[in-house]
Amino acid sequence: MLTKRIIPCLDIKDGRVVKGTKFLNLRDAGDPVELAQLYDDEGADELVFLDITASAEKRDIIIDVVERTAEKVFIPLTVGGGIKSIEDFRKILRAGADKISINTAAVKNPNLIKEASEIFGSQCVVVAIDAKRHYINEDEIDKIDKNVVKVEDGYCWFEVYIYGGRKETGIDAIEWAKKVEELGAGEILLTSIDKDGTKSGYDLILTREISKSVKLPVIASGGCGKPEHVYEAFVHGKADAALMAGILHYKEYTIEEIKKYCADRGIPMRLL
Amino acid sequence: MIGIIDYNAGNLRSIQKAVELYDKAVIINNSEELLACDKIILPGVGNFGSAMENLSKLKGTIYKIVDDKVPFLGICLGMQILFEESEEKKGIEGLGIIKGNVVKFKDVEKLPHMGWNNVKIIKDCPLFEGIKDNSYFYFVHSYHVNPSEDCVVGITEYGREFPSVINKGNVYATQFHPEKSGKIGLKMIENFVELL
Repeated sequence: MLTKRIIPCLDIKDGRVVKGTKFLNLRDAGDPVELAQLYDDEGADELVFLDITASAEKRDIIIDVVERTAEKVFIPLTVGGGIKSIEDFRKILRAGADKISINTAAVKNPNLIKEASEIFGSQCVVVAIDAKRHYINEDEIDKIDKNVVKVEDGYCWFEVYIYGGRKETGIDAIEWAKKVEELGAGEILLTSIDKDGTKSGYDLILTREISKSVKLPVIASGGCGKPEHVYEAFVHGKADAALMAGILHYKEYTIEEIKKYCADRGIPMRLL
Repeated sequence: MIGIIDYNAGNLRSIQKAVELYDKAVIINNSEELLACDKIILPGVGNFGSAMENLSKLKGTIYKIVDDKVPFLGICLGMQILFEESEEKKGIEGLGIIKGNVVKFKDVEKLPHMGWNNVKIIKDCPLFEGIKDNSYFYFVHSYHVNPSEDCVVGITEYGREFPSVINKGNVYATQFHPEKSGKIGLKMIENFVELL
């Protein structure tokens, strides 16, 4: 039976793992290759490296990290952050990454999704969607040209943000998810900006709405604080995988504990 | 020395690094080098059509090494192109080393079939040496093989049961990526490298 995946995410700045809250206040959390090995040993199903330096002149740093990781870790590795061109794809894949995650570049140039999936295969192309709730009043529902969803505290639509959560686009995340599927993406990495770093749980409504709108696997991200949140993301959010960072980096829970919690409640998990 | 066939399909580094844990591994893209190797791995990413196009130059040599009983391992798309044809690219001939075709998954909620799934061993095969029944391996694919001859040694369930490991003589193939399947995957690569 296909299992649900637990994916540690390592935000990498200048070759070191860092962790912040709502994309801000960065703290050092260790060496990426060492952490990658540790998580592999603990049962991580995949790994994600997000290069938050991501300026062109520092690209070589992440390439070196990917190369060194690929020598020691034999589970799928996704790399994202500032990737803009087919040439970037080629370099990072050649260094040993299996998938490339694109966000801002995909919004600005959706054709990149199509081109990359034709050259490298859909399985290599992960589209990262950073979404934020845009609340509206009940009387606005019919007037607005977006997928409005009822949430715990009112009504909202989900807006796509780019540049690491700093810039809104006016794009509806549900429509965007369908479009990236059409263009050939292989997977969606869905981050809730509202929830990121809060440890209050994933945005289950956002996750569920996107997951049921596409056939692509959806990775829930943003807000994981305890094993129960992961379980909820699978059951209520219909996520295929759950991404997490802080709770692992600061050793609040191990991957094994999270997997066991889910497995004990009937979720198919790969246990070591 | 293990030869990994390069047909312009992206990430060969992880398969090379995995093999290098057990033996020398070289990335090759011409017939001469291919003939110099003791074992051959045909990796696979991309699609059926472009893979066959990129392999056209090496086709004759591949038939020769398979006839010469050189151990041969196809991975993922490298498994699929061993067959005669695929729904992914109609009208393109596969290598036809195994009889049968390649079909798309039907009636599944999510596509691609992506993630860790278990392999049920249905027949002994040297690749399974030291690997427990129902071990998990990493899959990512939207098509699966449908052999019309007896070669299936392992099966996996996704919507339906499909062949995930095949073996016919010196030809072996896996639908999953052993080089991405952690320690159990490495064990399978070791088993291939150590074949006599």
